[in-house]
Amino acid sequence: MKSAQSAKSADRLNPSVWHDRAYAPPVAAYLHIPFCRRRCFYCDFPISVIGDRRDGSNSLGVQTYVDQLCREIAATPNQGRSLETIFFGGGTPSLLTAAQIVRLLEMLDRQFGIAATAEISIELDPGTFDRAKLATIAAAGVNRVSLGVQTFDDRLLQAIGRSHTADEIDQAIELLQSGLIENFSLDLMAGLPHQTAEDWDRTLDRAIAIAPPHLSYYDLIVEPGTVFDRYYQPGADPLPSEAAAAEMYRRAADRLTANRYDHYEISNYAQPGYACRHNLTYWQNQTYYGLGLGATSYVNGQRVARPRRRDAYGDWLDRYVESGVAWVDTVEVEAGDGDRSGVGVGDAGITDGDGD
Amino acid sequence: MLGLRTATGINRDLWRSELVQLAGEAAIARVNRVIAQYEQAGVIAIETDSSRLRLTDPEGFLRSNSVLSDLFNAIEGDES
Repeated sequence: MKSAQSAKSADRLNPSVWHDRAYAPPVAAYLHIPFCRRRCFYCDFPISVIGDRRDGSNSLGVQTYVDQLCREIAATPNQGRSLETIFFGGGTPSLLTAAQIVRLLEMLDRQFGIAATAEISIELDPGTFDRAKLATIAAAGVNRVSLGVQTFDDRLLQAIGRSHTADEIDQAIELLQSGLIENFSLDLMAGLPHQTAEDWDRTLDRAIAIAPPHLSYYDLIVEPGTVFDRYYQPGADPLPSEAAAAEMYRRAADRLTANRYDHYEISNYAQPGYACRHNLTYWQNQTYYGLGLGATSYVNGQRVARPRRRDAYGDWLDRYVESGVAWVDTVEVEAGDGDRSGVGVGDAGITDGDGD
Repeated sequence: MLGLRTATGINRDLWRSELVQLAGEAAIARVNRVIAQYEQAGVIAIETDSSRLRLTDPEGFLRSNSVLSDLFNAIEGDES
């Protein structure tokens, strides 16, 4: 009789395993929340700018979009397994009200079921949430936060067009470390205009002192159509040279691994046990639901990219909900369309200013 | 191949099986030549029992775009 191990080995060499994996029922869901206070100078993601005075409580555009997301969730066939990871990405998901986030979670639970041990992550920007919002979403099951810091330096925050300040970063981290949601990640960026090696070292000093369970680190890329694309050439002053940016990468690897972080993916570091389970779905080529404007899903062997403009997404959703035909027949399929690494959303052109 | 973004890399046997399905046996030789070049340069590491293939940290991660591009080209028969 074959041992379990040898049977397993035989399965691994069976090409049908690959077929089965592409058709495995998803246990991960990504929801795209495409609203920001302003567009950062490096950003080409599908978002709508709603300004500093609007959020989910007073923006008709946001409220309408949440309704649309709920319709898409309800129309998406349950493939048979409960969700083990959920990721609210953006954009700035923390511009939603706590009630809107809770409503989306309730819809997901009703449609797919959410496992008791699910990892539920949300991207939060400093200055867009308070203790009450954090407490409400934590009570609803959110148990992991990805905080969009980028840099702790006000001068650099302004240089890249971020809407928050260094003080707001401090307040956000204090809230997270107060016990509401202690599993959090800091998103950092290197290769910023005017950023020196000393600046980067100070960023690392600060991050290491905060000791978050997880850190993500991205190099600035000058994408076509962005503000930076109009003003800067990659590798030319005031951007760091290619060699200087590579040195920042090496410096981060050296210092973070020396401080007990596992460099488990090109751009990600985690303390033991805190790797992001949701993002591993993408890197391990597993299936996932993708919901909302610009989101890509990988279900039944098909990668499906939703439209990246509000009006086109609305039209697509109407057809999808009304047609009642099979999932892959109702949507456009863009073969080989890349995912934004780790968040499951396409990264090309959408116009600003259509939030309301 | 996205698994090469992770520190644990990819299972070489599984990957080989998939490549044969996708591109035929001829692709294996082309891919192996690319792997050997990058292994010699210290960019790719092969575990001692040959079971896993991964990028080194940090030099392999830094050159991930070039490595993935060359591997895709080799799979498609466009080896440079």
